Amino acid sequence: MTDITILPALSSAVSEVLERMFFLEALGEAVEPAPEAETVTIQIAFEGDPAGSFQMRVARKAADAIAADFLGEDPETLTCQQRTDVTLELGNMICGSVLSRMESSASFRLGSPRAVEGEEAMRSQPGDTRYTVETGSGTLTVSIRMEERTCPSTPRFAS
Amino acid sequence: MAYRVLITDDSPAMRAFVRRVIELSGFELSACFEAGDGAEALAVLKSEWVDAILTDINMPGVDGEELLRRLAADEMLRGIPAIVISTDATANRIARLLALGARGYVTKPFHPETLRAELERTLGVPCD
Amino acid sequence: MEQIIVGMADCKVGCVAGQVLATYALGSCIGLSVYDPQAAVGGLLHYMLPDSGIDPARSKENPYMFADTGIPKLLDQVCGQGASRRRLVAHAAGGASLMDPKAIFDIGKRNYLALRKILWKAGILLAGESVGGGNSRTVRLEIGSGRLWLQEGGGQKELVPSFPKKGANKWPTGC
Repeated sequence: MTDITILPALSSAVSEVLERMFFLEALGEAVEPAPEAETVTIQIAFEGDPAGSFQMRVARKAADAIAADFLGEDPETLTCQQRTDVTLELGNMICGSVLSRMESSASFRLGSPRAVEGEEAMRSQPGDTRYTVETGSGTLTVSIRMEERTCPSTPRFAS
Repeated sequence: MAYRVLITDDSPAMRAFVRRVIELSGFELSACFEAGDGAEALAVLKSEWVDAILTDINMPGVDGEELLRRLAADEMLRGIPAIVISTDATANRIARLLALGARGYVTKPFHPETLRAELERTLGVPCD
Repeated sequence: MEQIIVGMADCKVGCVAGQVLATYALGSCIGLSVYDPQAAVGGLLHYMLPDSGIDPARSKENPYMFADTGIPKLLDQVCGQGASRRRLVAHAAGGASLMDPKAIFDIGKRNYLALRKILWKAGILLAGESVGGGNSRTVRLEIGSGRLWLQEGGGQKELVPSFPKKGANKWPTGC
């Protein structure tokens, strides 16, 4: 699978999830993701054809705003756990939406999303497809790595 | 009429969101149970009656698909309407879950009003 | 019928049967109507921009210009006239992309997203909406009956028929 097939799925999934459930418009593709120290990184492994892994890195400020909007609460009243839970669910939704856009001979099965830090946090690797958007409160970067398919296929729709 | 519902999802944030949608939809809740996976949901149902089950699919342990299978296999539980809420929008998956007995299906991401419409279709229009 | 015009960046509340709140030329702007069928109180807001942060001084002069200042004021005003937030039936119209077919600066979409965010936080779900596209819209809300009319692209349709009399146990919904 190549960038040219996965990238439209990534971008449309990010837009749809942010707009529909988080009331946020992706303000356009950003060139530089937020510095790692100020971000939260979520990782999800998935099984299917192909299997692979997904990462989302979001600026902490953006994550806080997103969590408050999702729960319909004021940002100051949220607990750390609530912020983490919403961020995990955001990653889960984007990952699921991307995979729903990919044609596959078998259903994808997502693992539980988990927050990662340090060495496990996002690093660009050959074969990763990455997409970064500006949310208004900071950047959000998603990255997906697909293993080799057993059956050749293409995304169901590109946008 | 006051309703008793069971929300099954491994995400506490999603459970909170769904609960809020139900409350804002005009349904009076006399009980709202939560479960982190299918096994917890079945444990709740051993001792509590509910009018509807809302369930995710991708969960660790007993997932949503297995939960639907076990509900369908149980004489007492098979009549409880279940609405699936999942990111999987593939036609095959939806058809399979409806065949397993799901009464409704909402694909994430969704507007709250979409879930409300599915609840109204399943439970009836709320009375005020 | 007493027609009360809601202009751009404006908001009116009605609590007398026979009043009709009307707003015109909803392009990228959003018209938000709220109605309490039990109290027979309704309001109509026509706002232009999503976020008062871009011009706080202007939002102090006229809070109805922005979603984040106008919508809370609308809700406060209808509740001040006896409406209950819990009973409010809300509809939205507008959010079109009239001058910007490629939607590069999509104020209409931003206005719509701001609406959804603020209503979700306020605990109100929409009962109906007519948003997006390329047409200008006109909305009329009849106080007393709760009827809501939408005019778009040369046609007119009733979005909400009269509410049932008090004591009935169904209310119209539909998105």
